[in-house]
Amino acid sequence: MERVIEWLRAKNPELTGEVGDDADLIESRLIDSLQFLEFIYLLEDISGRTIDLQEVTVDDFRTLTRIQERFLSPDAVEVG
Amino acid sequence: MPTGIGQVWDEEVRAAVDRLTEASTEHYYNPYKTFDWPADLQVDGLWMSADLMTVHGTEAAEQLDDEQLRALSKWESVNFYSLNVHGIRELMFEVTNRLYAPGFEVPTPFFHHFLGEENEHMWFFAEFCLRYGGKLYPSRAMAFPGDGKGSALLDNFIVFSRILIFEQIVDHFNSRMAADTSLNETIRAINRVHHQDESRHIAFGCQLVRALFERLLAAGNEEEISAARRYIERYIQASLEQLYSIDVYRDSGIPDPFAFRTRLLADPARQQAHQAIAGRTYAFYNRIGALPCTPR
Ligand SMILES: [Fe+2]
Ligand SMILES: [Fe+2]
Repeated sequence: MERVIEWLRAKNPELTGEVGDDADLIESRLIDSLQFLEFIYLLEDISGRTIDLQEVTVDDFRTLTRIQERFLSPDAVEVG
Repeated sequence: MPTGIGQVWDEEVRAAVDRLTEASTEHYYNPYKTFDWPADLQVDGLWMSADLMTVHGTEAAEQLDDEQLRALSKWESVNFYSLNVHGIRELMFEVTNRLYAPGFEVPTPFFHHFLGEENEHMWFFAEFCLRYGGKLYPSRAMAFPGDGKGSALLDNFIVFSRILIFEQIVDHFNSRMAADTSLNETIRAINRVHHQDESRHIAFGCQLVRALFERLLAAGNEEEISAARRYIERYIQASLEQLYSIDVYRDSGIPDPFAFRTRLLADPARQQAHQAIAGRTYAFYNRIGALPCTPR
């Protein structure tokens, strides 16, 4: 998860405070559709699992909590 | 000042629609009978021009052996045609939504040719991938809920810009591969035929985008105009970066594809390559004043 936060900070230099676990990353435009490819590559690199976009929705990327559950926890189901 | 989309289309747009509609009617062909699809594609060298590959000019390329380079050229070309298929799906959707819609009476006659031709392009690109690659690479793009929430003028500028930028970048590849005598004839033919049709689509797109941006400058507010400029710059960059596919590097047997991709994107040789691939696009958007650095 540290790498995810590091990435968000690198992409959004104006971001100074903490990123709350339940902050809405999409509503606040910390992630948008033009950075999305890089973001899923980051998640795939961390987890070692491929993400099949047919199996996920935008909401799966909305908060750090959801990202952790869906893609990064050891018992997250293979989504590819 | 009226801001309806119908007000955007000036004499130049009308003249382009007439001229291009006539040219498309004149050049009408049956794509289903146009190509030879040999059962076994005899590729002795590379599947795409070496200078179009994402490793071209990089230090990382020097560590690839011939076998890896050949595999990479195959999968990178299948990815390129797959990106075409997905890009065409998006643009057909957007254009279909505007057929005969209020405000789009002027461009609609050419929309018909555009849609018909794109449907055919999608077919032959997919056909190539399925026959010779055994698959299409899946799309890695996702629509976000914030997309398309601006004014009608800004949204249309963005939609037609996405189409134009995509077509111009693809066309850089097509014209290079059509002319590359070292490539297999079927590969050259699909690139050549596509390039011929796209010259009309690009001329059309340039007119629509120019007219939309002129109206945005005249009628839009500062915030919208700078949002439009930022979007164009970022969209060109994102389009270039999607050529660098992890799935392709993995299929080509390259170890640690993620680190490989990061290395390529950081290689100074690629900045130059990006200028070449998107050169026409940067020049066009500079000319109409739609890049952030353009003084207007
Ligand atoms: Fe096309
Ligand atoms: Fe086209």
